[in-house]
Amino acid sequence: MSGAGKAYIAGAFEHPTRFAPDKTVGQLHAECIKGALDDAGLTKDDVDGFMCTGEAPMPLALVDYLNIKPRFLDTTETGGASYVMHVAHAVDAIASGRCNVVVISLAGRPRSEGRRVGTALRGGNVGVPWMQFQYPYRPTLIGTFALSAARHFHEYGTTSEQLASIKVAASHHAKYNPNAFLKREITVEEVLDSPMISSPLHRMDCCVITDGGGAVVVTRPEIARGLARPLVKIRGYGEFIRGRDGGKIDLRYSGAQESGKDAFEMAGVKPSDIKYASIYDCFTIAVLMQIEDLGFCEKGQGGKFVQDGNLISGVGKLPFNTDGGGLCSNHPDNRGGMTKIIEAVRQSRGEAHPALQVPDPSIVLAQGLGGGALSTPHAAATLILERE
Amino acid sequence: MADQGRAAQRRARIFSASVWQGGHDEAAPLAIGSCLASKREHASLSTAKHPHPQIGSSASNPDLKPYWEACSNGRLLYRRCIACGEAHWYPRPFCPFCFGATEWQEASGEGEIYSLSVTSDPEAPYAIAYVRLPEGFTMMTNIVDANLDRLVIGQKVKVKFAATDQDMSVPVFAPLGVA
Repeated sequence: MSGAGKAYIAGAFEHPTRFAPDKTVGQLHAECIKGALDDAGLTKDDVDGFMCTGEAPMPLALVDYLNIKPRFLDTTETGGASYVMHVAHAVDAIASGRCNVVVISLAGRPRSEGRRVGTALRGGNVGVPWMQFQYPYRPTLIGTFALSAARHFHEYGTTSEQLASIKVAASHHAKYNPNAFLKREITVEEVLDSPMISSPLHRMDCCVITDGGGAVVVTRPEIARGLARPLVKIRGYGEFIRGRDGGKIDLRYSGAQESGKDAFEMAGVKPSDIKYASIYDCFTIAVLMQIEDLGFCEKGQGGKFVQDGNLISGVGKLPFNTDGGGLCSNHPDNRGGMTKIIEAVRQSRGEAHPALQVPDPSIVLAQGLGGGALSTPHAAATLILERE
Repeated sequence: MADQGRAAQRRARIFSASVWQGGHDEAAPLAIGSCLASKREHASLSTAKHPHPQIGSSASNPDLKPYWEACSNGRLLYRRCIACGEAHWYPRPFCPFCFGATEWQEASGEGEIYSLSVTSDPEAPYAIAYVRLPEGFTMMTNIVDANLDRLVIGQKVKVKFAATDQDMSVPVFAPLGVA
């Protein structure tokens, strides 16, 4: 028996900050959680389920700091995909009767802490089985996404201009967002003129690096219906961990192919039913490949699909990331999954910016990716929401 | 040697600061761009300039001892399943396809570039790549001894071993013939 329809997202809050050198991560969590609970019309005493990741900085310490009392805890850690998975896990927990009100929270300060997110070498823990066969070659995060982009260009003739048009679309949306880190319209030329960090990805193919966070509240139908907010029902979800298949590497696909399949099947809808999509956007290539893998277009056609404003609300067929996304607005703690959920909830409620609100947001989608890069083991998670 | 290491680290930190403050600001220094402009020819065997002290140590991964010994002798080993016959990468004592037992075999050293990306770096750009081997797997590596601008997916390459700062060897790949 699936969890479809067994829980609602009743509260959502994105911290307005993008640079928070004077706040601790714990404080940012607390502000996000209070914001989400206030949004829902619930209090911290109502909370009996909690989800965050190990960067919280330590789940048990955060629970104690907040003085909440969860009967259900999930700290699934898959980078930016974590929060999309947490929502699904919350539905299952609520549906099975384990808890009633789950708070999911993210916060971090990569900007204040000066983290070289995309270009620093990562890892070095030889306890990780692949480390000795990867670390010596100095792959950076952006480099490992670039490997997927390079292969996609080779297989399908995808171009840098097509990738750039994804950033352009996000910037068209970000200009309406007073909190966006990067608020001005970007052109294809500007993306292509920005420095090449790891071929074929330029600096402008990358998301912004921001402090901040967000939180959502997931609760059972009886509680949600007693609150004053529009009803956003969780209709379908799926997740998948895509490894490197013992060395039989195929960089054409991401885990979104499998996570999307499960979510669409549970929801009983097709890609053509989706009115708005939040697509994980750490890098432009990630957006393009997830759009293909979710079935919005055929594999290999992603370049054509994202061109000519097709992702721009009011202009194209698939309005995406109308808050400006990670590419232009916010990618707090280098984990974009929470903001993807929050903008999908805004659209579902009719509370996105009026210039960008889709007219009939009956079914919307949020896609998360994380824990690794497209060309290294990563997690994918898909969430489908329905406005009741 | 140690001084060079420290100098490299200092340069890396300065570079990181300039990239960091750049972000998306208009005033971003073009540190990365100027890096790419230089040293395009014959990239150095610059793997493991940031070595991890335990990579290659038997203490952390005793099952890999023969692999690292073979590397130091210029041989690339991999493992193949005794039960189902499939080769896999990176080497494991069990088969990631059928969980059968596996044994060491030696690779021919031939390969073909499956994907590559030239990464900017304050010292010299370098190429990360996935190379597909005829033995039946694809591995992450660096492409060396090459004009990085002229590397292409599909290009044939051959393994060689790059010495690291810690008297180890790691397999890298160089184009066949003239780069």
